[in-house]
Amino acid sequence: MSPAKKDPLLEVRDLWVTFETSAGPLEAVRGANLCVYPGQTVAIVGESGSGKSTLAHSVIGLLPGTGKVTSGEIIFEGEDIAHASRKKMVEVRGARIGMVPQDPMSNLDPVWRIGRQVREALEANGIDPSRSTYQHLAEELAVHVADTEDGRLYLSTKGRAALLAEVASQGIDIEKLEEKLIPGFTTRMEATAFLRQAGVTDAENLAETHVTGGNAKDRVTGLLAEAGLPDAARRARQFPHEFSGGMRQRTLIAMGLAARPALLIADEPTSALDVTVQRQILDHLGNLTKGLDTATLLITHDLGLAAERAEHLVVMYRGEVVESGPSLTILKGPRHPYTQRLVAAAPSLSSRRMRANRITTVVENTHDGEQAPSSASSAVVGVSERKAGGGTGGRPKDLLVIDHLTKEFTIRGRTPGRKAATFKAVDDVSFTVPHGTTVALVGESGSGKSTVANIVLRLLEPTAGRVMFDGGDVAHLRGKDLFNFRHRVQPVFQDPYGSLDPMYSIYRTIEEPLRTHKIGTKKEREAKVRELLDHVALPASTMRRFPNELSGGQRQRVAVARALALDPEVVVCDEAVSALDVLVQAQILELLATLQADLGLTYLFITHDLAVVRKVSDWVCVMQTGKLVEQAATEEVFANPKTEYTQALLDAIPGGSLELALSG
Amino acid sequence: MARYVGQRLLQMIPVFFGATLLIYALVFAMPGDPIQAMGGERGLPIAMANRIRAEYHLDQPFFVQYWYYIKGVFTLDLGMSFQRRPVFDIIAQVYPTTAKLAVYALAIEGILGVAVGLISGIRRGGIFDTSFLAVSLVVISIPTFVIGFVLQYFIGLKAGILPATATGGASWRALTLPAITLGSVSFAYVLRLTRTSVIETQTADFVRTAMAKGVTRRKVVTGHILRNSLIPVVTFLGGDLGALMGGAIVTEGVFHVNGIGHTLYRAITRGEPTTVVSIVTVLVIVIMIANLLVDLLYAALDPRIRYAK
Repeated sequence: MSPAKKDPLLEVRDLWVTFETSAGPLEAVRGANLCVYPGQTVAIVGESGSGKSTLAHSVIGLLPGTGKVTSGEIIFEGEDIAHASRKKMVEVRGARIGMVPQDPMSNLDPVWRIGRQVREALEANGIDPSRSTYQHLAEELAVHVADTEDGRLYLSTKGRAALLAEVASQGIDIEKLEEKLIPGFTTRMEATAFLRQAGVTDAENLAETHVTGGNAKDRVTGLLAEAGLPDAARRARQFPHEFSGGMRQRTLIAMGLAARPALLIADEPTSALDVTVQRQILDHLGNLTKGLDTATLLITHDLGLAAERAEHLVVMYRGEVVESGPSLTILKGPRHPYTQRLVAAAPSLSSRRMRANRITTVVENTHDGEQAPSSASSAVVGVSERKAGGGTGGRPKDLLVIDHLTKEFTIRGRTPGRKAATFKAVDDVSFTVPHGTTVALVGESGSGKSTVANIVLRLLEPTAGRVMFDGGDVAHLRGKDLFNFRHRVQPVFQDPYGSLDPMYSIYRTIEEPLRTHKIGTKKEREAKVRELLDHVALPASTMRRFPNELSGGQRQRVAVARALALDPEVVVCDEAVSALDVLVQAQILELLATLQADLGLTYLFITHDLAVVRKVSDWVCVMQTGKLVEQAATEEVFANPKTEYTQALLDAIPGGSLELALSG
Repeated sequence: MARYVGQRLLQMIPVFFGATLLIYALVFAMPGDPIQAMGGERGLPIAMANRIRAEYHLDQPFFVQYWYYIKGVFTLDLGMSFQRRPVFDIIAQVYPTTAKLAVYALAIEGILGVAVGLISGIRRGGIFDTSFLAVSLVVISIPTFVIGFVLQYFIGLKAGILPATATGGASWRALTLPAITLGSVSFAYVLRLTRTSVIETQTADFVRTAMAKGVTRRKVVTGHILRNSLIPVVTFLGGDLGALMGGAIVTEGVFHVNGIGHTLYRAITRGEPTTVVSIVTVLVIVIMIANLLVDLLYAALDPRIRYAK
């Protein structure tokens, strides 16, 4: 490697970060150390609240609120920037250290066009949009490949049109060239090469005449195209609310890399996205940073993802770096107990190793410490008994039958009078949920899986088809029958922050269904709430608290307790664990398994995460754009996916490629 | 955009008829006989009173009267006041003064309110913020006419810096004190609204992202924070514009401004139904148009609204 690799690009030494809170100072980062070499990818792994994001924000000097670096050094390119002036930090940000933030939904200014936001990143750092720039290290290398100043000029929109016209006049097919020549992205040198490939005779002359440098608008298009945004020129004129999550994330990547920083901080860059999109974006980001020789500091809660993407791991726990080293070394031999728990719980890793037996999952996870349910051991017995029974005793009866279900939504029409266009969210979906089992409904967002869940819960009416519950058509339920149905089928929703009323105490939240259905006296209801809290392994004192005083995992436990209050037969879990950290996720999944064994519950489990599916479900239904494309027993789906789509979902599980390395 | 405006204009039709019908009914339910009142203590001879009643269609059933009235509105003939002046002329004469005053007051509260609110929000908890919060609280808690009298006495009469009344004509200078009075309370609300909004926007993720791009603090404030914070403020100012355009009876009275508020007040006290109804109708139309303008501004500020409709 080049000599420049010897000095670290970023070195964090004994860093302490404190937040002033009403309850006194809170030390979010306690004596952290880490090192990033030029071009290297380092991942910081930890659960939420571990201080990983705080550490990243202190590097770029954007600690929120009262956060302050109280001691330690952040040495970047040989200078301590922990206490640098505001002016110095403005110079460093964007130009030297870029950032791709966490939530694509909230990180773009809603009132600015996409293009203008990307352009701002160029202008703020004084980047010349007419030619390509490299960061320092790549700059040195570029000289070696005889890359002249003029060779770096970008193609402009006008130049592209003129160039293509001239090539076409030579009688050469321009279809391929049209794809390759991107304004604001293709340089003169590259254009020359493309022209030569296409068989243009005077490639150099043509490139020289027509590739004369793009303007800022071209460059914005080029950057967006580089980040993998299709139809970038048109897209640049749109507003963020017209973009999907994945497109917004690509925009954020384009902005983070616009000024060719030496270091890119990627803070959970894909956690909010679908698995398949996640994979595409991470692949793309990885290729880009490699190509530009940009070092990356990847912040994630997913150990599998981190190990797959980074050469070096830094594991943080409660503000401290508990372990760091090469990724594979850590995965193979985690030394710190927390890292060991993480490795064990990571769904993407563990589910692969726990392929054969689902019971092991339950056993292993009970070691998780933190309030493991007391009934866990009995759960194991229950589960294994049920499994054994399932093998010999024939099929249990189908509690839920989803029969040729179709749901259409009308799209708000542009022209009045004309018949409104419809959109099929669910298209002829049929499957059954046998009593006492877990059926998982899997797919990306927009696949219609949540719509199915809402129809099953009768929160939506189907356009065609039926949902049969215990022999009766759900859609025909009226008045008292509907009320009773609500009694027997309960939901647990995705967002543990949004699905609890912040004004209700936990007691009131869990008691509400009992009160609504007029069950028991006040005393009996209180006893029931206690029992429910015990079921979900929360102390009885929780009932006097309010949602904002609980962690995400605790809230989801409350949501489960609330769902169980009426002793339902079916629980519909709509992405019930997706918003949670791995360890908490493992705890909730284990809790659900235990409850199923104890109470004989039937689950309809809606998720986009196949890694989770493997842990909990007996039967898997895969949905794609409203259609049910595949359904089979869980093991079968994982071993022999029948459709490409299922295969793609499986491939998208982070950490999948590590399996070989680990077993070797 | 054109479609949106068209839709809004169509929506105005039922609002217009509903509002005028209601006003018409209310005004005619007012106690007393205005025709008899014209004759003073002795009253008018019966024949003469009947003639006047017929002239103003007051002897017809309610809906017929309303029909004549609506017909008049669409032919720009608002009828005659009891002083034998066309109501249209009266409105045309006084309305510019009210409009001028409203725009003046709105400019004061809007520009100052947003500017002070922005600085307060950015330097939250500082001396500037604390003192203006106190000022705004004082302004909100004092009745408007008290502020009017205080300004009139100290600045108009004692110091003599600005005219104490607008009797000499509605020049910008003469309207300064009334405009300050009129805008003072809304200034306080705009300030507080902007401040809260700025504080909220400051912690938005996209603001941090802009900073991470290397954009200077100043540009982040003017480019991202301010514009995003203005959305709730514009809603408030829009409502206020409507209120101001309706004329300020009290303030116009204190400063002797010959505006629509003052005229309306006189018409009510004299019990002139035609004049009252005509003025209020014009005000309804003006307020509807003002609201439409605000909604358009709103859409210009926030692209999400443009496409949601």
